[in-house]
Amino acid sequence: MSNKKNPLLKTKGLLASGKQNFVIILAAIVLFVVFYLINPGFASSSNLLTMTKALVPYAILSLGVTFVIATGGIDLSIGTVCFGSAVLAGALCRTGVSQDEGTLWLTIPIILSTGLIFGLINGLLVAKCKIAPFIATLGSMLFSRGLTAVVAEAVRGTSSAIKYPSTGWFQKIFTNLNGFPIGIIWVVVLTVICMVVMYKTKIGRYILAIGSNEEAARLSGINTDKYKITAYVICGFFASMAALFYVAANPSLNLAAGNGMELDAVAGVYIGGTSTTGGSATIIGTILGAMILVIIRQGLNLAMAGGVGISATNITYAVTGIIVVGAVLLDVLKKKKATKVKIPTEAKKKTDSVKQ
Amino acid sequence: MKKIIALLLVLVLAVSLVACAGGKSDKKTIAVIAKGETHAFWQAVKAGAVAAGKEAGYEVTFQGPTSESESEVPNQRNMVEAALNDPSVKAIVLATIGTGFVDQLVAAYDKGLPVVEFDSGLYSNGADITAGKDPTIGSVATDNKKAGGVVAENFYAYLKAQNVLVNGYKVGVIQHDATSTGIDRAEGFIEKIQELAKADNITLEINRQEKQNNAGEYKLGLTALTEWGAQAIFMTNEGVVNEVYPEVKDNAPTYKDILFCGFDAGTNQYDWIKDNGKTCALLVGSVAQDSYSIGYQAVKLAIAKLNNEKVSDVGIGGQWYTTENIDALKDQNIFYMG
Repeated sequence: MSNKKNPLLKTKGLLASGKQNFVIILAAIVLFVVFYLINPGFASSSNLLTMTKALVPYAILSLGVTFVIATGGIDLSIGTVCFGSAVLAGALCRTGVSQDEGTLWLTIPIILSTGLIFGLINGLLVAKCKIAPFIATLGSMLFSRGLTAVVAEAVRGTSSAIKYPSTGWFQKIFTNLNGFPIGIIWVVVLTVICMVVMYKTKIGRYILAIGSNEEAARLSGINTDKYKITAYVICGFFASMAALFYVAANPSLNLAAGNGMELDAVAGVYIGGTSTTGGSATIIGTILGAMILVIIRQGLNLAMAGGVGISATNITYAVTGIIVVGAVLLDVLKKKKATKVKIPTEAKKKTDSVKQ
Repeated sequence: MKKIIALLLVLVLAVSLVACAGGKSDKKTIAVIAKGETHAFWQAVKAGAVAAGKEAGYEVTFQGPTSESESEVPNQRNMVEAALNDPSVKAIVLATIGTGFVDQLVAAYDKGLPVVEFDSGLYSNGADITAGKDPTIGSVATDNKKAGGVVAENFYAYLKAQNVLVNGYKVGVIQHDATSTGIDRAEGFIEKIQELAKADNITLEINRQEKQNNAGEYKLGLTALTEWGAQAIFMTNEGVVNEVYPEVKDNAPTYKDILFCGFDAGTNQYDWIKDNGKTCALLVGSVAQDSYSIGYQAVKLAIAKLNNEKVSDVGIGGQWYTTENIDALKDQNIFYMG
C-alpha cells in the first residue's frame, strides 16, 4: 500500500519546480491575453520589442541574485552597484551623447570590475565577517551609491546627467542590432550558463547545499565560506553586466535611477519560485518571474493609456506587491502541504505495522 | 489551493483592469507627455493643452513622470510607448527628461505620427533622433529673448511713468548662468530697454553680472552692482531672486532706492511683490513663463500639422505681473509658489 504513495513523492521532487513554472507560464499567458483584450496595441510588434528590451537588464540582475538567494542570503546592493558602476565608468571615461566623446570602450571593463569588487566585498562581509546578508548588503548598497557619486562628482563635477551615446556600437552589441533586440540573445546565453553552473557544477551544487543546511554542508567538508563568496561575486558581476544593457537603452543616467531596482529583481526571483530560505533555485523560473513583472508593468501602462487619470506606475507597484506575496505564499503552502502529507503517511505506516 | 489562489489573483487583476479600461470609441487624441504632471507649471500647461484640443474636437491626454530626473526615463518611455500603441492617438506632444527614446521616435516616424517638441523639447537637443527618421515637426517653447524683452518693455514703462529716467541712468543685470537661457533673457532685456531709451533720446548705462551658480554668487553680483551705483536691477531667474530677496530685506537701507524686476515665479517673488516697497526695495514686476500658452500652442501646432497646414516653431514670450495681477495669475496657475 505504501508503495502506491510513490507518485506523490515524484510530484514533490521532480515536478514541484516544473509545476510552479507551469503556473507562471499559465499566468503569463492569461495576463497577456487580458492585456491584449484591453488594448490590442499590447501585442503590436513595437510593444513586444519594447518589452523584450525592458526585460533584459532585469532578467540579468535576477539571474545573478538567484545564486545569492539560493544560499539563503539576499543582496540589496545590486541596484546601486548596477547604476553606480555605470555612473562611475561614464564619469571616469568622460562619455557623452556623441560617440566621439570620451573612451566608450573603456567603460565596459570598468563597469564589470566594479561589480566584481562589490560582489567580493559583500561575500567577504557575509562569509568571513558573519554579518547578516541583509545588513551587509544594505551597507554596501548605501556605500556603493555614495562612493560612486562622490567619485563622479570629483571627476566630472556632477553625479547626475551622466551621458552615454544614444546610438552606435554600444547599442548594436547590447540592445538594438539594426532593429533586432540583441539583448534577448544575451539573456538566453546567460540563462544557459547559469543553469549549467547551478545544476551541473560543483559551485552550484555546493551553493544549494549551503542554502538548504549550511552546517551540514560545512561538516561534510564543503568550504562554505568560499562558495558563499562565489555566490556574491557572481551576483555582483551580473549586476554590473545588467548595467551595460541598461545604459545602452537609457543613455542618460542619474544615480537615483538605481533605487528600487534590486527589489524588482528580487521580486522576479521569488515569483519564479526560488525558495526564500535557500536550498532550491529555479533559473528558468527566475526568467519567467522577470517576464511576468515586465508584462504587468507594460500591460498596466497600456491599459491605463486611455487617460483614466491614474498613474500606471503606482498601480504597478501595488499589483507587484500582491503578486510577490502571492508567489511566496505559494512556496510556503507548497512546503506546508509537503510536510503535512509526510506525517500522516509515516504515522499510518506505523499504525499499519502495529496492526499487522 | 495554490492554483485557486493563483487564478484568483489573476482574476482580480483582470476584472479590475477591464473595469478601468472602459469602452472604446472613434475618438481622436493628442497625447501630451511632459516632464512632470503635478507641479503648478505643468497644470497650467495641461489646461492650455486641453483647451486647444477642445477647440478642434480632439481629446487631449496629459501625462508626466513623478519627478523631473533621468531616473524616470523608463516610466516616461512607457508613456510614449502607450501613446504609440493607442490607435486613437494622432499626434504626440513631447518633452523628454533624458535620452533613451531612439526606438520610440523611429516608431513614431514609421507610423506617421507627428511629434511636437514643447517646453525644453527633446533632451540634449535631440540626441535621440535617428537621421532620416525624424518625426518632429516643430517646437513650442518660451522664447527667452522675447520674454526678456517683455520685462524690458513693462519695466521701462514703469520707469518712464515714475519720471526717474535721465541720461546715464544705471541699469544692472544679474544673469543666472552662461547657458543659453540666461544669455537670451539678459540680452533680450538689454536690447529692448536700450532700444526704448534710444527712442526717448536717453542713454542708459548697462552693467551685466554673469554668475555661474547660486552658492552666494548672485549676492556678490548684487553687491558689485550696488557699489557701481545701479538704480535698477533685472534678475534673470527665480534662483537669483531667491538669493537677492533675503539680502535686500535684511539690509533694507542699503538697497532701498534700487528698483528691481525679475523673472519666473516662486514664493520669494510673491512675498517681495506683495511687500510693495513697504519694508524694503521695490520689486516692480516680473515675467512668468506663459505655461498656459505653451500647452495651448503645442497642441495647436500638432492639430495644424494633422490638418496639413504649414507649421513652424512657436516662441512664447512671457506674462508680466505686478502686485495688481499676481493673484489672478496665481489662480490660473501661471504664477506658482513652488
